[in-house]
Amino acid sequence: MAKLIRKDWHLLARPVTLYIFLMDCFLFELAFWEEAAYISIITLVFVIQFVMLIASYEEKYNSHKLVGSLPATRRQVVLAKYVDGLVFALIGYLLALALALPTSLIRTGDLLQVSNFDLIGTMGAALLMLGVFYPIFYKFNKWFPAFMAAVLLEMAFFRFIPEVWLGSGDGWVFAVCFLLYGVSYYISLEFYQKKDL
Amino acid sequence: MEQTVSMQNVSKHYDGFSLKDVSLTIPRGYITGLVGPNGSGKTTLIKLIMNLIHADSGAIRVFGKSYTGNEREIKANIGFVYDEPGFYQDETVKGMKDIVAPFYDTWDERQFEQYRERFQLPLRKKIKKLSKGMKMKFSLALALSHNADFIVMDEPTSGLDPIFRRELTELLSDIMQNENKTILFSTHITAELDRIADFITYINNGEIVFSREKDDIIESFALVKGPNAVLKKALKDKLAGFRQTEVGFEGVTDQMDEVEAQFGDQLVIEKPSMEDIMFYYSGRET
Repeated sequence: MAKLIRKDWHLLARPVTLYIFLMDCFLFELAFWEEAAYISIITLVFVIQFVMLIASYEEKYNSHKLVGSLPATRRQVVLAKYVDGLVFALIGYLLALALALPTSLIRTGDLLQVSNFDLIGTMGAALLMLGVFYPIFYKFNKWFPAFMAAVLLEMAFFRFIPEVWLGSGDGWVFAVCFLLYGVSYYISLEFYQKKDL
Repeated sequence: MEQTVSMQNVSKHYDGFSLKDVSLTIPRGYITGLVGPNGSGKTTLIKLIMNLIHADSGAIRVFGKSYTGNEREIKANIGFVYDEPGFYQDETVKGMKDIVAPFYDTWDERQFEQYRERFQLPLRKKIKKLSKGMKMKFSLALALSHNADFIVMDEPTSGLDPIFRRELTELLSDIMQNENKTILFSTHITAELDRIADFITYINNGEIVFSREKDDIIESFALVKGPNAVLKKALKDKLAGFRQTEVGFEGVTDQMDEVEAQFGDQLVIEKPSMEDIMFYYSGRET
């Protein structure tokens, strides 16, 4: 499975990843600085773009056939994607933090305060988003509907949920998200194991 | 004879095409040519062998094992070459090799380098910049660099120039010096099979028409030519397929002795090529 994860990271190591990252930094500084969930929004954008870059690349070159012919089981292929998701969520958060801290210092003269919501809530939201993305991607082999569904879910989430989310603070919300992520894994696996490549 | 692949009563249904109740063995230590017209089911058969698609019914065993619980082990011992392999086109030759190589515990970097030099593959060139022939050579170099016992090749020569096609058949002959190797080679260019195949499996319209030793096929079939006046029901029944024109007919038969005994004095009987056999068996009678 480590080889499959390594493959995905290899695919991300391209100039386009850096361009998108820099563009995100610029746009989000302009657009979302005033938002309460600033770090969460940037994190989710980073995460979905990492995942989308890999998925679009695989779709474009029909690489399911290549991956399916390599010595790895379908279970390992799907599990690797879900492990990728966890790692991307963490890296996305760290990148967002790295972007937000100096910005807050320059704009307000103070360092940004990081709350429970920022860390646990953001990780949970990222897992929810990816938990929607992957099953749709494995069902239809298309990244775009999966991307749209994940983004719409997150928009709805930020519109309706933050109050409860912010109030809850600690781990149970994250635990629920992690559980849903696990359910999503089994759904994706079910789709992928039945799929003709 | 040991089998590398055995398929029993395998069926796969798609809209507009079905692979019907296929039973087939691919013997270990030989080159088996999988031949048939475009759309006959060659790629479907190969995808089933590679477990890329699932059979609706029947059993498939590779190296004597089913894929359930053995997928990794089986695929580690298969080298694959596809017409459209699904490479990441923005990667360089080196980048793509670096993605594939770690999957194989038996990867032999020295061997890959030898093939790379032999095929003159530029390490730093992106896959999308390679010609079709170069991509095929790269695919071949990957397939041959992890000491796989079973090489699966789906239309490896389609769209390639005759020089490389000849080079490839020579390379495959070299590989077969190792008696543990098995090659499955699908093509619709029958001349290649005449040169290298030990066994031929002919598939048409989703059904295996025959799967036998090549020499046995060539010996048991005959190309028959004659005037239309001879082409009566008694002869038609003995022909696997034929083509009729205003001046006469031509066809193949697998009942050579009977045809010769009954009609021999009125017909010209010759040794057929694989192409003759495939053409008339495909049912293109006019």
